[in-house]
Amino acid sequence: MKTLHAPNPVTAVTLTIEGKSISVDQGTSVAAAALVSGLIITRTTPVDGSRRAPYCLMGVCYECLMTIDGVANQRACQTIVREGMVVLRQDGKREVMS
Amino acid sequence: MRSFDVIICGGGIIGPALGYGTARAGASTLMLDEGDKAFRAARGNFGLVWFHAKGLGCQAYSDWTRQSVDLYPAFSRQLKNDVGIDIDLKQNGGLEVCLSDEEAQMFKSEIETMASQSTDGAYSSKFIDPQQANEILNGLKLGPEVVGAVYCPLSGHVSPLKLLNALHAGFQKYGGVYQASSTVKEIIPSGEGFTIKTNTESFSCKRVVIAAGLGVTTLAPQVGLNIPVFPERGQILVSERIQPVLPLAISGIRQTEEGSILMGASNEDVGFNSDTTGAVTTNIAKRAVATFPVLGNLNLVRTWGALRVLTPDHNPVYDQSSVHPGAFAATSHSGVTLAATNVDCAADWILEGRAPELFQSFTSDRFSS
Repeated sequence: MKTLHAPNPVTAVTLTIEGKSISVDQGTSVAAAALVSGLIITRTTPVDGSRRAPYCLMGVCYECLMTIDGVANQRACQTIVREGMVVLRQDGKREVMS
Repeated sequence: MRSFDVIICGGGIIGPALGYGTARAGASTLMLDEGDKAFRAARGNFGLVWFHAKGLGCQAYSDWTRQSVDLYPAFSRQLKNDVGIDIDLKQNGGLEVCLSDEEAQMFKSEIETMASQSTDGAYSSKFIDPQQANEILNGLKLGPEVVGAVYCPLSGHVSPLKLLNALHAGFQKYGGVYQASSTVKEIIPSGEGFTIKTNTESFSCKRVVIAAGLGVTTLAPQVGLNIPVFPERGQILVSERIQPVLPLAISGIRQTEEGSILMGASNEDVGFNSDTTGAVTTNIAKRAVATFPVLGNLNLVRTWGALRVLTPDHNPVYDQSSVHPGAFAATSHSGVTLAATNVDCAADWILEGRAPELFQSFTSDRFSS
């Protein structure tokens, strides 16, 4: 996937998705940024580990859960990119340290 | 008019347990289930298989519970073999955590009462301090407010929905007939048996079992039984799925096989209302976080409310009408814990009229005086 036009260099936001740095227009959702970065599989499911990608892109299907700035299971399509954001694939069940 | 040996009024968790037992014994059995408008305690259940202090003040209830928790491992294997459904039984003990000295005192006195009323001297729950609890919890840290816990090695938990599914599947495997969207309106004793009128049709049967949860209050009088029950609302919070952190069930906190943390254990008298409220869910969350601070990091994904079915003394009812023999009623708020014995006793009790001796303590005439 790609954006329809290059991001505006003055207002673009740079973030890291699965270790890859990418610049997108401000106001872009993390899910869209992930797709543009080439990351299609954004999570694996907690029960059987099957692969999932952003689907509805409007917050209802919960398929695009990702770990965003250290907080697991966030809907990437409902989160707007911020400068310096670190985004990781959500692999299976979240780890919670005790 | 279709005719059956047994008609079970109620598709919750007690109905299909008894129906599984009667169908397996060869009796033609029909189960009538009201539908989604019913207040389904069976579908809002937390899923504990709990011994602890069940039957405080009623040793027969404690003994009946003990029989069921003892049967549970074999019962779970039997369901797996029979219908291929794993009910996720984890029966490696359970904890009731105390967050104040008052709670600790209350639990300690409950344990003393249970030990002294126990007839076989084998009562096994004990009070442990936070350090002992920490050892059982395998590294999961308790909060500073925890003053102790009651540990019962016999308690555990299951997936109540998989259990419900397995009981229905077992019932149907042995030829039981399930009929949804059927509200039982009338039970009419006629000749040797009964005519059962639903919202859409009529059936006849030799024996009828009322296992209708809160619906028992209107159905039981039609066969000469008086069984008052009341709704008590409980609310439950569900977290996102996480890696296993809870090695055993806590009375108000358990982790499902899939990884969700369930939090609950509220009690409210609000009539026939199964909503959730901010005040109660906040308290449940606060208590869970006070017990295990790490839970404060979790995202919640769901809440629900459901209505427990309580008798005035909170003890179960298992009764056969003396006015209209062949009419049975069963109710309790321990449908999950007692599922193993409910299946086990059904054929003898309902088909042969041989009630387990303990049922003498569970008749409904105790509410009539």
